Amino acid sequence: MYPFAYTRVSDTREALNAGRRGGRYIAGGTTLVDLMRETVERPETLVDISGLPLREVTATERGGLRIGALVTMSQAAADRKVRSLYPVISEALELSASAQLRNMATIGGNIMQRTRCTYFRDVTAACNKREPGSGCAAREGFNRMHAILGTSDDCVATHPSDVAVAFAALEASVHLLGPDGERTLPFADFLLRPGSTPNREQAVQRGELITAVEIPALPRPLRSGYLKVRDRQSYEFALTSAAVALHVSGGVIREAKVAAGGVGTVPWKLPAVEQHLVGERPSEALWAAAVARAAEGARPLRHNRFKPELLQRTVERQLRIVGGTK
Amino acid sequence: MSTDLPESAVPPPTDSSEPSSAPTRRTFIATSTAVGGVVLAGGVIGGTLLGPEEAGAAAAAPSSRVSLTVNGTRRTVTVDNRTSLLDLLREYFGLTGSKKGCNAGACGACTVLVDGHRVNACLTLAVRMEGVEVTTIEGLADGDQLHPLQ
Amino acid sequence: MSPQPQAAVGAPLSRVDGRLKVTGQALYAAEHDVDGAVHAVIVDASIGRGRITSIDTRDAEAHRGVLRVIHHGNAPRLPYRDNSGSNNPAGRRLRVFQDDRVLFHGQPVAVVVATTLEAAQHGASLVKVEYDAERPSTDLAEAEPGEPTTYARGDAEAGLRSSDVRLELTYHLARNHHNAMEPHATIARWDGNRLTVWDKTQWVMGTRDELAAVFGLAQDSVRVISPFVGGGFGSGLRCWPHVPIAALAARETGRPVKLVLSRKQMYFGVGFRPSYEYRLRLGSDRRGRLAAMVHEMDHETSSYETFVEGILDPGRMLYSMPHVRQAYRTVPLDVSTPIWMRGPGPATASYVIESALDELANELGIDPIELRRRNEPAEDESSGLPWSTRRLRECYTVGAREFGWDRRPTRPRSRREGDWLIGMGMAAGVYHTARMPAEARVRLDADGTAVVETASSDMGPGTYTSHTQVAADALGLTMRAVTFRLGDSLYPQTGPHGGSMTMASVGSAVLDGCNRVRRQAIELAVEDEESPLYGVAAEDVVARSGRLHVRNNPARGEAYQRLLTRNNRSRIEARGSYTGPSSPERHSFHAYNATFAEVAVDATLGLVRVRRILGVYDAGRIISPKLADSQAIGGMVGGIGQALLEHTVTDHRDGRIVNAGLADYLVPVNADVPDLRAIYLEGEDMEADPLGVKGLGEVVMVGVAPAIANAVFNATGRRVRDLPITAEALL
Repeated sequence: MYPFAYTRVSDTREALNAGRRGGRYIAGGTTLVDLMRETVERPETLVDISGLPLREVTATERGGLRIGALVTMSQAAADRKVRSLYPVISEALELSASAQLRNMATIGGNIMQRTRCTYFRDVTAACNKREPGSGCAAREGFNRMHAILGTSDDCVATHPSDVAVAFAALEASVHLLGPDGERTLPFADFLLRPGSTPNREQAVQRGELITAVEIPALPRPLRSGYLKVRDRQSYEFALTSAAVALHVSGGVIREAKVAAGGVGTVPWKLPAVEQHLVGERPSEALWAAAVARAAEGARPLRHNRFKPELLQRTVERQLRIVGGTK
Repeated sequence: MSTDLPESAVPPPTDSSEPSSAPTRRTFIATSTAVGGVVLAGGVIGGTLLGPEEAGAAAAAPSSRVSLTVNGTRRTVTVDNRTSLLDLLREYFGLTGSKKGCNAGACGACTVLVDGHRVNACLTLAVRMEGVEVTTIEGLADGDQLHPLQ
Repeated sequence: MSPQPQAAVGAPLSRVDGRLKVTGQALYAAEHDVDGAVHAVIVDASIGRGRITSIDTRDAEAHRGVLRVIHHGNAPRLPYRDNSGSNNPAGRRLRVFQDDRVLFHGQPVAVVVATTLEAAQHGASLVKVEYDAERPSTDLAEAEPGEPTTYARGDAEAGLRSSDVRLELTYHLARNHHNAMEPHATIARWDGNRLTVWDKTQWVMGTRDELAAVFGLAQDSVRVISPFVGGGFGSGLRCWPHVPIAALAARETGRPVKLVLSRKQMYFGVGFRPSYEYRLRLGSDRRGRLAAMVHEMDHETSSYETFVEGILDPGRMLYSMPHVRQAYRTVPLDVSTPIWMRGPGPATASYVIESALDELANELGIDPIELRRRNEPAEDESSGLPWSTRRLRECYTVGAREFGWDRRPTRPRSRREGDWLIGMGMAAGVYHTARMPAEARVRLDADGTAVVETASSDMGPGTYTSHTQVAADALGLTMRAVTFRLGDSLYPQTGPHGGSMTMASVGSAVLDGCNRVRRQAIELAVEDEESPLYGVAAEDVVARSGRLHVRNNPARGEAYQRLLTRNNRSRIEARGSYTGPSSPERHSFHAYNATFAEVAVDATLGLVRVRRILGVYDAGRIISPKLADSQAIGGMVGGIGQALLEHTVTDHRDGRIVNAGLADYLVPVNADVPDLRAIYLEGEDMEADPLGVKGLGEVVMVGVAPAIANAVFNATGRRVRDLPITAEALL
């Protein structure tokens, strides 16, 4: 681990000042400390923001939810409002990591987490994300856990966050605070596909602070949930996953929010699936038909050729679980 | 019964509270002690304080002072910012009950309680622990009474 | 076993060291407080084969806290005396920092010693090594095997030709790693020319001898201390390169050195179970009576040592058939050398043989248990020796009854519960009963307590506890009055803690020593005019709760304390020994099991979930039932891992292990481990050893993976012949 200076800040002004001077924010630290130990990350100064007043989960005016960036994963998962309004979020969180990590990690940090690609994590391997231009060892390497969607010639790394998939499905927004003030980004614009710049993962400017993630209000009743498919029962990243939220009224699906995880370089929203569902009555046949295009555009790799099929089946299964079997 | 370790396995205890003679700019040394605490500088292991001429010519890695309570005992130390809470417990405080299974948050063998919550000590930086209460496996039992976890 | 009343042996006692462990007081290798110790971190080769052309240590040495960087360019010549013992396989063992060659990805190329762990770790990352890299050969499927080791009886090809039913099957098993929770660690300290190491090892003697050989020392100049081991499973059976590296670093810096392998380094630093390709041809008649089996197996070894394991045994003796041929080849690759991992040989062979029998049963429409019964051998057909004890059929009967085998779906893929396909499978397990010479010393003190010492080891099976039980009963003392010590090369010598040998071997030595002490005390009493036992025949005296008395007349006797004190004896001591199995052997010795598994397989997602497992064991006497249950559960969990999750992945482009960590190499988690049950057949095998035990630690893992694989077939109708069985194989 490279030596670093450490400082604690107690308000956002102090934080931004430190950030502007090149300091790196640390909240839960579960990604950052891990990658610093691997010398993948080498911040010169750590700015401890865990004391900032960003720990609230609040209901917004129109029935949505605002989750402070420093709310821990376990706090968010246990929050009554989250559990009752958007169980897809609490499920995604509870199926993530371990209890210890969920107690440490924050919502803001979670969506900023970096890929688990073992070539990225090993400084002796070629990785365009770590060192632009050095190549991508995963493309022809062991890539069972890698992405089939949103990939480029330069990078095939999966985004590992589960709750980000829920946020993507629900079309959340990310509130940021920078030296020039506040701004809000739609979640779809927050996480970036690798393209030719895989080193740029989030649309966050230098020194900007995430203050909250906001979930918009959705029409009620809304049923939602998260399905995570993985080799062992717990404590593993997803092979595939699906976040689904459905608003059914009068026996007809009025709104559908669907996104997949474990398969994309970013959480993969599935508008083709959503559009197929809206206006239809829930049925086994509908779920099967709706997922026909779920893997559209997929570019499987040598070790994950099963992922397009598994992705379709995962989404179909979760549609059935959330939408009810008929 | 055989709860004692064989004598052969346990070398004589060391006195690990030797302070240095004078603080220098190159070695960061805590300037205060706490009751029951252990004063350590960045270059001290197991009681032998190594002077600057012994341990590399460059500036010492940045260190910070931190005061935390461990199993009810308050301790103040100055440590290299890179030191994990796990290594602070194991290497500096001699509390080896928390284990380093992977040092990457993947196994849970390093689990301790920080202010009552389970965390991975391996991914926790010691210098961030100002004012917290840490409970390790050594601090769970109530006298002779083992905790249900034990 | 003994005329002594049995109070401790056979009782479900908790571990005597349990409290020490759960309160964090038990000291493992890296935790001994050695005054003045500094830290060492190894630099790993980042190529898979080639030569080091330069090592630049300037940045590392400039890092505050770094004391030395040692590598082949500045390390002294080390004698590396011949040492074909210590579990060093045939070949030429790796010599640390003695030349510029890189033989495998991750090989130690330098070590950084520093005053703090952080400085040592960072220093290691600052060492710049340049290489002349070659493309390594790491793919078992592509490389050239060595010459086969063969076995044959009858005429296998003729046997196959004349069979009504023939199967030709190829199985692949992935490389697995032991993944013990404790990383290997060594603290090395020199006192003049004497070396002491606190080490994680399953064999203090072996490590002692290897260090003596590496450094050209007399054996008694080296002492190895290892009172607690946090899991081994075989990875501690030999002295790995990091141990002499720690000792070298200590000698070069003049300081005690602590070196702990990172979890990543455990994947190339301490051995593994090699990956296999195993081709099996079998022939039988329409009733399933086996005529012939031909086994051809290939597995990985390094380019510098030929690792072998007992893969041939089950194929030769588990079932009855006149014709067998086996050809066993090791394939030299640019990898580090494998090492035995729990049940080495049978854990692999049983997967193949037991799956093949299941395939045959399915082909013929015969119940899998019935098929095995029809092929039960009356004696060991590979040697002609009679079985000492073999109760495998009883294991089948008890297991089938307790598991509800009659409820097994007779047609594959015929039982469904919602999204889940349900299936049951079974397999037989076997592991040979190995035994090795061992010694112990026993001392009864005048205060009525005893100390037993023997080199041995306890990596988790509970050696402390089981041996205290044996000693307590043999001496007639309570458990509390006996202190059992192990893990020091100064103690009486034993073989390695592995091969399921410890209870039989070390336990028998302890028994012998305790018997001698007890008999000495009895002799003292019956010849002592002032003893209530004066004149009694020695064989009529027993000891219980610290007191000697006439067997059926407890009132007539006296406590050890009184006897010794009155005779001005501060102690009674004896040396116990076990000389190992007789030579030549007169019986064939094995432990057996029948393992039953029920699985649920997600019909569309392919995920396999184990619902329950039952193991029924024929392992002879069970010394410590609670510990035995832990062993069985551990073996079942290991089998779940082997069957469904564990797979060490190598990138053949440069030989790197891609999933060298516990987030990426998957072992079962608590949620994967459901209802696990163990039943031990009561009885002992008095031919095997004085304790009547047949070894337990490994047989519990053999047969689990095929039971699961067979259950998967029963559930899905899909036969997967590659381990681990993944979701994609069942989509």
